[in-house]
Amino acid sequence: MNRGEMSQSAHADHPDDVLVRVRNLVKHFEQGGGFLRRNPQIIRAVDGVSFDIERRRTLGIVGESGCGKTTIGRCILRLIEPTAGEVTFRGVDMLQLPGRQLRELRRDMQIVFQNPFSSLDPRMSVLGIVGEPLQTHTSMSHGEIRDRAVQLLEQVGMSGDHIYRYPHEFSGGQLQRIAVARALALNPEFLILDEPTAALDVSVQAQVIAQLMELQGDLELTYLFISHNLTLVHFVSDSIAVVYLGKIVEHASADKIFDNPQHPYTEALLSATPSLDRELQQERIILGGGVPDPANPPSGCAFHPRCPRAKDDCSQVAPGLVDVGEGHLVACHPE
Amino acid sequence: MDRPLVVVRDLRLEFRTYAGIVHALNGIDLEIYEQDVLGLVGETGCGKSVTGLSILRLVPRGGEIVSGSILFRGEELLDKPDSYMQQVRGASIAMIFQDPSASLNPLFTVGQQIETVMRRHQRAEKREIRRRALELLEVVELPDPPRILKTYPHELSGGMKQRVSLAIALSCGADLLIADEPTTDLDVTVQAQILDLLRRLREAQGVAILMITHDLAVVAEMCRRVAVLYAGRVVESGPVDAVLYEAKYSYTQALLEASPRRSSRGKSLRAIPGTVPSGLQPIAGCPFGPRCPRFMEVCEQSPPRVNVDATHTVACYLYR
Repeated sequence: MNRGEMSQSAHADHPDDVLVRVRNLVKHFEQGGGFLRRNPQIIRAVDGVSFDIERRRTLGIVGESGCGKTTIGRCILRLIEPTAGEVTFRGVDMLQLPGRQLRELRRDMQIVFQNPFSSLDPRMSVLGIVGEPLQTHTSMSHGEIRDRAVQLLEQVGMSGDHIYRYPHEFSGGQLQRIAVARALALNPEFLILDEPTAALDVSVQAQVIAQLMELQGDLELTYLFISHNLTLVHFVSDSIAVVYLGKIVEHASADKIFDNPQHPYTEALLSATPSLDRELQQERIILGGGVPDPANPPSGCAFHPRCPRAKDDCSQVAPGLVDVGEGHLVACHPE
Repeated sequence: MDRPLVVVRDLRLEFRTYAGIVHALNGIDLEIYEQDVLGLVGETGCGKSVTGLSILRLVPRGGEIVSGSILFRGEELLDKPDSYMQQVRGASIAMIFQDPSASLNPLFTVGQQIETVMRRHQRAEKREIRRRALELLEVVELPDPPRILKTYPHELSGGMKQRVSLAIALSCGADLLIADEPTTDLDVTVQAQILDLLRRLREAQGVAILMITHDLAVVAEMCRRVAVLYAGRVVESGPVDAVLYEAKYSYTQALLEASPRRSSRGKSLRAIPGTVPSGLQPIAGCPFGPRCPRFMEVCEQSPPRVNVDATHTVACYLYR
């Protein structure tokens, strides 16, 4: 399928290998405001996040619940409007784009959600679900849409006979593959995978992950893989950004994050993750408390109340993300 | 240490549904030893939660234990009247669940909920019970126990709620704690706290734990012994070292290969072909047979329980 004219030219203007560039992305939610309460609380869900995703690569975003990882994904697609910041896709500034051109660009970026039981409409047949993007964005005839839907189902390892069935007739793993087929319908270049296997059993997760990795190779896809599962993120990603309370605290290649973590939060996360690997089942670093309320984050470095290495100035000054060598970014005050 | 606390033999349980009779448990054999941690591991629908509930005789509506035996300290629980079971529940065998906000009552304070259980099982003065409740909150390492006692569940985080349900479970000195996916809903760092707490409580109080989970890594780190469930049967059981690191049964091996781990980066995850049987049709032979790469003709008949060595058993013809 041909991509839009505008994005074609943008592609030429942007020769390097970065597909998605995010700069100082901020999303603040207001809570508890309204008619009678004057001062709504501001929740800094995403608080100044920057990263690049290179073509045909996978960036993993990992963090605990409430850290803002899902919000980052949705802001990139403008499913929710960011408060501030810059998101460029193939060099085009997503946030300045008027509605029509945005829709045009969105053909090339798709998302797969965590729970396929709620992200697929139970009243639509598989043909309806997978064919809907084609109906919206192309002038394909009904027959062409059906042929393409069959082809897409086969691409995700399912039988094309399933197109007239409904979501309740499938298992979770099959539904998630249908969701992937829908996301692939318009030949996108970029896929956001927001906890795509969190609702699935291990054996089914393996099927879906294997499928996604194969598709990435075949279709030259770029992934943003969002998950709370460190082992899984390490398994699928080229580089990993660790997020804590709306900020990236460490960003490096997947192996560097695992073999040589620099931020105490990354260390603690790795250490807290149960493992089947014998040599990783050692003494644990166990953090006290839980993730603080994002409406009322700690001063200075947001991690300092739980940090085993906190010093005096950690509660005063928030550290910036600094390159400690070979693109390994860490937001922590030096020892 | 190796005295059996609970012995389950050939436990069979059925659910009556509109679609027909679902054979949920098809002859479960288990031993839980005193002060030990047994992992019960398997995927959705394999019967692991129902096994835990059966030990307390809390089978959900529509379900019925059709045959088998559950011995607790040598006493047959399946023959006992309900009044006896009410003494066992909470006092001798306690249970915690995956979602503590569903197992705690939102209308009562933490203090009221702990004290209700203690008053049910123990004779003591009000002040004495209050003192013990405070002590319990300290045991589960909640900060500022007097304040926590007065809070309602919605004021606490997920990890704190799980600590409260743990305090309730431990309030009457149970010998066995059944923990059904106790950390599945929690963040990794909080999961590590709760697992660590469970480990230390087992050592300090000598309580045996039946750890029900889908996460093999949690089993590897928490348990001494493990039973792998598939389609309502124990297909392999034994020490964690044997079952997870020298797995014999095809399903156990496949499950391990499907689990991502740090050392497997760059390799591909092996998916298990086929799907889990629904339980609507009784299975005559080996339950994993249709998906097994080493299927033989003899697998059409129900496989025997084979002892690989003194402690490691597997339900497979290959090891006979």
